[in-house]
Amino acid sequence: MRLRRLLSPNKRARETGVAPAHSSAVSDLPRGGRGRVVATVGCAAECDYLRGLGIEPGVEVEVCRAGSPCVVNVGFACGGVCRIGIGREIARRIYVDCTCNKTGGDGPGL
Amino acid sequence: MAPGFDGSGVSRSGATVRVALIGNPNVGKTTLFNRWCAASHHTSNFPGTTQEARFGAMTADAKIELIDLPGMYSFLDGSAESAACRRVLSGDEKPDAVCVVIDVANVTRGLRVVRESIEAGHAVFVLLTDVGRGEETSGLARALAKAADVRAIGIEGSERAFGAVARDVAATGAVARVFAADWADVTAGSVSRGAIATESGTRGDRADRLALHPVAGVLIFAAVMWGLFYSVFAIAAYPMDWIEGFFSWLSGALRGALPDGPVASLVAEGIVGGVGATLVFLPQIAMLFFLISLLEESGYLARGALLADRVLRPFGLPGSAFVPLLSAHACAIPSIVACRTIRDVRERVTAILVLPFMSCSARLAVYALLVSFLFADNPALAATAFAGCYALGAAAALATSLLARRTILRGPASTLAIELPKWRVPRLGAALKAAAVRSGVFLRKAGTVILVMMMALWWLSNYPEVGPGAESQALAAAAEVAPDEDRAAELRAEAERMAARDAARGSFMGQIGRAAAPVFGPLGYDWQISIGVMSSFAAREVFVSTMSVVLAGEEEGEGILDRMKSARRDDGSLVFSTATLWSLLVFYVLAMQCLPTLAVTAREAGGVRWAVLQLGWMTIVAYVGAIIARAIALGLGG
Repeated sequence: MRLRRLLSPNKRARETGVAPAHSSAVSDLPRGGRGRVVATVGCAAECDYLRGLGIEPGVEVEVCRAGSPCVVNVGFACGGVCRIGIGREIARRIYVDCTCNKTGGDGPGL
Repeated sequence: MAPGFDGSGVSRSGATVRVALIGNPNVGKTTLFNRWCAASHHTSNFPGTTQEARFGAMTADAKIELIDLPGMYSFLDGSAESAACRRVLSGDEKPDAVCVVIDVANVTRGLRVVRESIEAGHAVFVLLTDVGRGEETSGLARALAKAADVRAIGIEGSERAFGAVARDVAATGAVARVFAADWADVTAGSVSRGAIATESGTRGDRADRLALHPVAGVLIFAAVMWGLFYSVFAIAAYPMDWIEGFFSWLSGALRGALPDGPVASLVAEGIVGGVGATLVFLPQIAMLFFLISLLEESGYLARGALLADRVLRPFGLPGSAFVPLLSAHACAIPSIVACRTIRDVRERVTAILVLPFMSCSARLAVYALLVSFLFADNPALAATAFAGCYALGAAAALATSLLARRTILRGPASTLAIELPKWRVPRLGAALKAAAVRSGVFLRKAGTVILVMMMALWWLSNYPEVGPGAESQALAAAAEVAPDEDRAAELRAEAERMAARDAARGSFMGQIGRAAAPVFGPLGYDWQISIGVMSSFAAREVFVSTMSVVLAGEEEGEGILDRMKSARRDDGSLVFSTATLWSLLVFYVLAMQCLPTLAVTAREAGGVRWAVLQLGWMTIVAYVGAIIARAIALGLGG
């Protein structure tokens, strides 16, 4: 149980399913936009899986391709090159605090 | 308890030490295992390639036993892979030491597995890999060892160095530790910040934007798939001709060398003819596996899965079902196992149920035979019919999936999140090895199951021996008194044809076929086709071999197509009319005729009931589909 608690720092958001105030969804970031994850909203299994992939509160993500599917780089703490492809639905439920000035919306962006 | 480990943290000198290789997907665990244990398991640039634990001894140090485990992100990520890891690490095969393999590009995620492994009470050390990028890892390993307080080595080290560290760690045993919540992030950040450039704005980024573009991406995807299947059929045609020619020559040579009798018949027709008719498809199977391996190696398949999500989602399947669906065109069995990468259990079972609708390589033999018969003089129509078979199978799979997800497997759709491996130039050697390994499986099947089936079918179709009927004897007698030699030869040939049909009809096979004929009557099949269809329930490709055994030829060396064209029913009409051929083609596209697939379905879907459902549903769909196809063909004058 202790391990389970350790693995669930975003438990509050998961239980309430409420988006944090003043945060943007990853789906709102344009290509090149960066943000620090503040919460992932969804069922527990989904959040666990995203966390396993490296998308969890505190992690900085960069959008490499906006739209659906959306591609994000994660793991800048280790200079990472980990690239995750996510559907639009899930991109709308990953909330970030923008760490750059870019804003935008869903769009293909080649 | 593992051998060589006395439970007190001390490894007995010279005893075997068991080391488990764990870590995130796609970090090169199986590549290491293959290299160090001289094994040849399938590897690829796609997450989820390894699904089960594999065991092997290191060639450089036979006292080190390695366990290759499936990749996972966390012991609690809810995946089948993490469950498999937990089972092995806590079961009878419990290792003395756990080696967490970490890609230097993703240290944070790897360190989470390190933390969980230590918390679970394992003796842990780290092996840093560069996944073939040629990056320096030993320096980073030293920094990591210091920052994380855990033994760590780089991939540049020798196998013996790995063995020495493994022994040390096993001897020391598990060390209890308490970690801060952000330990993995802080540690990774302290050792490698700025060490590796991101791919942002690089060729990888541009390639991703192009490959995943809503229009260009889909066009590229369609072109890649078209190229894949075109290569399978166009390039593989040459070696197929060579193999076919070789077996024809071998059969004739054996016929000539062996004294006339049952042994010559068994060897030349039963064994060489039957197995040869199946082995001729080996080049297509090898080509398909080779090309799929190349795509996996390049990293494109993961992008394909992402693109396919939009297509598959309306039918209740996730994008992660794309790779199993694609590889099911080679063989359904490994594809069903690959469905373990689908996280949602309902979606996983749905994918398993519908996978056998995809046209596997075993069906190719039957398609090739029937389409060649239907459109012998029109290659364009033959190619269209061939493509139609694939389309019909895929359509049936998607329709079945939609039905299942709306009824027995109703539930919310999972969300798509998939790791995209780095683009890289495919390694030809690895793809060739993958093709060789999987072709070997097919060869073993041809050398065992199909060989036994052919011998049994030969016996059933030749015994009990039935002499020529009255009509045949009368023709033979008439040939003796024929006015000229040409007429005599003609009568003798007719007498032999009738005698062969009498023999086939009176054989055990003939009796079985006649008993089952009423069931297949609505589909337009006589007792001879019924035998072929029934024998196919062991393996589809057996149909071609069975037809070559069941349909007695008028002349020695007559090909299977010629035999089919001249084959007659008991009432004298053609066995293979156009309507019957269409009915048979549709039946083979849709029917479940593979016992090994049913066994794997029962295991992977979680019960025999799913295998029974799969068999029952596919048989009903095939039966009804064949009736409709025959009715349409008859309506069009076939």
